[in-house]
Amino acid sequence: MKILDFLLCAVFFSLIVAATPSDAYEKAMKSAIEKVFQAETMEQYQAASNTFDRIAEKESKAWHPRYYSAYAHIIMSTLEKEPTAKDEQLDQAMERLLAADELSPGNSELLTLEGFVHMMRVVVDPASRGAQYSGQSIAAFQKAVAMDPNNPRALMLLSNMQIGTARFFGSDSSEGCATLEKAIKVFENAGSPKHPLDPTWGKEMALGNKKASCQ
Amino acid sequence: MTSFFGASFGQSWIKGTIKDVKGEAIIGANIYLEDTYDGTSSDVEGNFLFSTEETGEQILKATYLGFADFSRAVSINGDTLTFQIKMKVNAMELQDVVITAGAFDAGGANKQEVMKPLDILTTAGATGDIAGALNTLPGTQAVGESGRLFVRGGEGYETKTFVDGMQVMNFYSVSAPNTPGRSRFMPYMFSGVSFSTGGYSAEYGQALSSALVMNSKFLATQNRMDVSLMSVGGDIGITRSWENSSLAAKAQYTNLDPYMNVISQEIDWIDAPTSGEASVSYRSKLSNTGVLKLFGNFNRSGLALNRFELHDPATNIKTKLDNQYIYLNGVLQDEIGGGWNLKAGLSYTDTQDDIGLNAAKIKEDEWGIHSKVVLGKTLSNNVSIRTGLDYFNRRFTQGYHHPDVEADWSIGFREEIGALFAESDIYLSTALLARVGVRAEYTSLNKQLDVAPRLSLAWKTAQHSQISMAYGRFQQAAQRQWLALSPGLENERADHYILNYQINKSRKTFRIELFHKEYQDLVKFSDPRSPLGFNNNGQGYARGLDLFWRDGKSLRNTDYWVSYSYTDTQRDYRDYLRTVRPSFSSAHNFSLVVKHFVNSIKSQLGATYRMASGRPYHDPNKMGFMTEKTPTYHDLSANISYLFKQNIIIHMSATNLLGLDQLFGYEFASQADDAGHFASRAIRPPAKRFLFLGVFITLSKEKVLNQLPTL
Repeated sequence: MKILDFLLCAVFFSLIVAATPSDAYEKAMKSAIEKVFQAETMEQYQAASNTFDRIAEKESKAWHPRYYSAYAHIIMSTLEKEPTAKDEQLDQAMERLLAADELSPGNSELLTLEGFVHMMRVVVDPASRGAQYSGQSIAAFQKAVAMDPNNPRALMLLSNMQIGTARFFGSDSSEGCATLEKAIKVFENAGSPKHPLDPTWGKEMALGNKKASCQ
Repeated sequence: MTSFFGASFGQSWIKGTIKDVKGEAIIGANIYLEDTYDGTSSDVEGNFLFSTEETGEQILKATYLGFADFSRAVSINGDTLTFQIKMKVNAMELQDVVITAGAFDAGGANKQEVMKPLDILTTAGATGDIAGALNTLPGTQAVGESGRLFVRGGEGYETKTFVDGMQVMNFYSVSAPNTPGRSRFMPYMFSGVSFSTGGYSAEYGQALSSALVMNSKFLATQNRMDVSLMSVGGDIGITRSWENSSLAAKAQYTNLDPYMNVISQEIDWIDAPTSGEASVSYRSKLSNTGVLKLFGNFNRSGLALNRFELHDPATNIKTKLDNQYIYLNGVLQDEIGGGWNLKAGLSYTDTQDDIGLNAAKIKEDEWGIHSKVVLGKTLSNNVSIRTGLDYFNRRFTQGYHHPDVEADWSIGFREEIGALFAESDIYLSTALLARVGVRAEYTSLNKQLDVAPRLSLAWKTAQHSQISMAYGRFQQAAQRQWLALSPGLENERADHYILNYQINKSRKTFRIELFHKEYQDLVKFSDPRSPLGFNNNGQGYARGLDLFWRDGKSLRNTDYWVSYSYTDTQRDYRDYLRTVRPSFSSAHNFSLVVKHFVNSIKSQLGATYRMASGRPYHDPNKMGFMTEKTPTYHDLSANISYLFKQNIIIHMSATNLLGLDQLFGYEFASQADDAGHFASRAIRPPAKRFLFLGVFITLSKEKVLNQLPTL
């Protein structure tokens, strides 16, 4: 009976906790975050971003759902084929980031994604956009690093741009590789995030980049 | 415990399908109960299914980009609810079809853009000049001695320039007689350029043929310093950026004296063109929606040369020209509630020219303000409106003074123009857009009230192609030199009819445009110096065909475009004896612009070839009127931009590589010599080629920045 009592108590408490809105929010977010990082197809990313948009509409003060929805749209831009469709996805991402920025000004993670959007704009049409958007994206990453020197995503994306630029000019990519190394170190030593919904992605991408460009 | 079971068994299911009006499934729509997390996305067949623990009255919502939000009150009671949702297109948001008749758009949100702002900077032969680059598009005419935009049988003055919607007067810098002037502003300032060769919006007035509408960039995002060293001068620019505002300042000095000394010129220069310029622009984000832009441009330039009267080569007229130019522009834009968007702007132009002809002095002073208020609102998914007020006030004076002769005179006028316009975009379907507008304009000098209708239609015929047509009536006050003599002159008028077909698919564009233009009330006179004999009895027409092909995809690292225009035009204006093809017009114009990036040498190479068939001119030594024709004009220009380092660019350009003879026409003596012959002088470029070399250096924290976007 003691076990049954314990179980009942546990169920009871979990119900109380579940009833408090913040936990419902966290639970919904965690499940959606899991889905966005498992997504592979356009439909899956769209479904994930829809979930974040639903949560965002209800949680008018939360920057996290807007952040992850923007992330999904950035990835979707890589799955689109036509340049205008790519741009539309990036517009969608930017719209959400600007809304999130109002809720959490001076947020290094949001600025990192903004830089990511600029970076993907370059990819759409490097010849005519490279000069404008690569500068903007590097500026965003540098600002994001200045705000939080231990933001591994900002460091990693910055290293991407540094390596790409060095390669274009045929110069040595050691500066970018050093930045990437720093990013990887931060990833490896990362404890649990300050807020349970804070972004943690990027380690695999960083290791992949290292393998491709710095070894 | 009841609540626990109640919640668990109180689950309701909501399912259904979501389709558009045509019955096509909408994939990935967001379907949910408002103010809850409960919802789902539609699958590839438009089906959806989700569960909720909510009960009672709820609102079911569905959203998808390009469609109007769907919402409906539902009552949830534990049963499964089924819905067949039909989503209506939000044509306004989708913007699947856009009006392309007459318009070449670069930058901005237009999906049909054919040029990018960067293209203007890298077009060979243009040497960074806005008008020079646009002159490679169909609808323009090669008029090498002017450098202005002559559009579809229209004269240079028929094209007006607007920055952020505000008029710019005297857009071209001063130049020696029969040598081209340059556009005053640098292309890098602008994020979007729309060059309309006819049929443009009711928002723009006082332009008979063409509107060049340029939108300046908003916030600068980086602190930087730019230094340029050029074969003709140098400049330095500083940009500071803050959280919600930015300030950019630039100072430039150019002096062509050293260059003219090295490369021999047809012109007998005393002082080759020299210019000092400063510009400042301040940008501020006032709120989430509010935008403030302030811009100022200040320029002083001068030149001096020796000329002789054609009928007497022994004369020497020391001609001196000094120009002082101020342009100020301020625009404020914000949402003002109720879905209305407000834009208010003010521009001020002041130009002073001091012309010296030996001891005689001519002083010309023109200043003008333009103020504008525009209100816009999206009324529904299919209809938006814009309406606004324009007010122009300009003053022009011209005075003559000679120290030895008692012959001083002074003429001038002050003109006010008030205009009211309204325009509506109506999506008759997602594939059919109509723009209906009207502009009413009152001119104080001639007390004329003109009502000008404008109408455009665009029909999307297939996924990547569309047909557009446009009709519009346009009027423009007579040119200042005629108004100064005869202030009561009526407005000149033109009616445009345009039919356009365009295919735009993955960086390839083809367009063909037919146009017809009727001119009425053009200014005529018998003697350009006498106030008597001015009238508005001139008229004319222009019709023809424009072709444009651009391909940025088929050839690796290469982008090219080809333009061809055929123009059939005749007019009777000024002191013409009868209706003929005017001297600035050639029947055939052709341009080929190629840009190629070579990775191995980190350089962009560019070449432009232009051809224009002969232009008519009048030879007073021959019988008849305007019977002569210049030879065909050819020009091959090239440039190279070399990325020397991440922040250093070296740019070189040359016009007329082949050194061909470019003859634009002849000027003739105003009086015959003793033998009854009118002496003449050929109008040619002052030198065969123009060579340019510049080094552009950018200093910033972000080392990869460079001035490529500003070249």
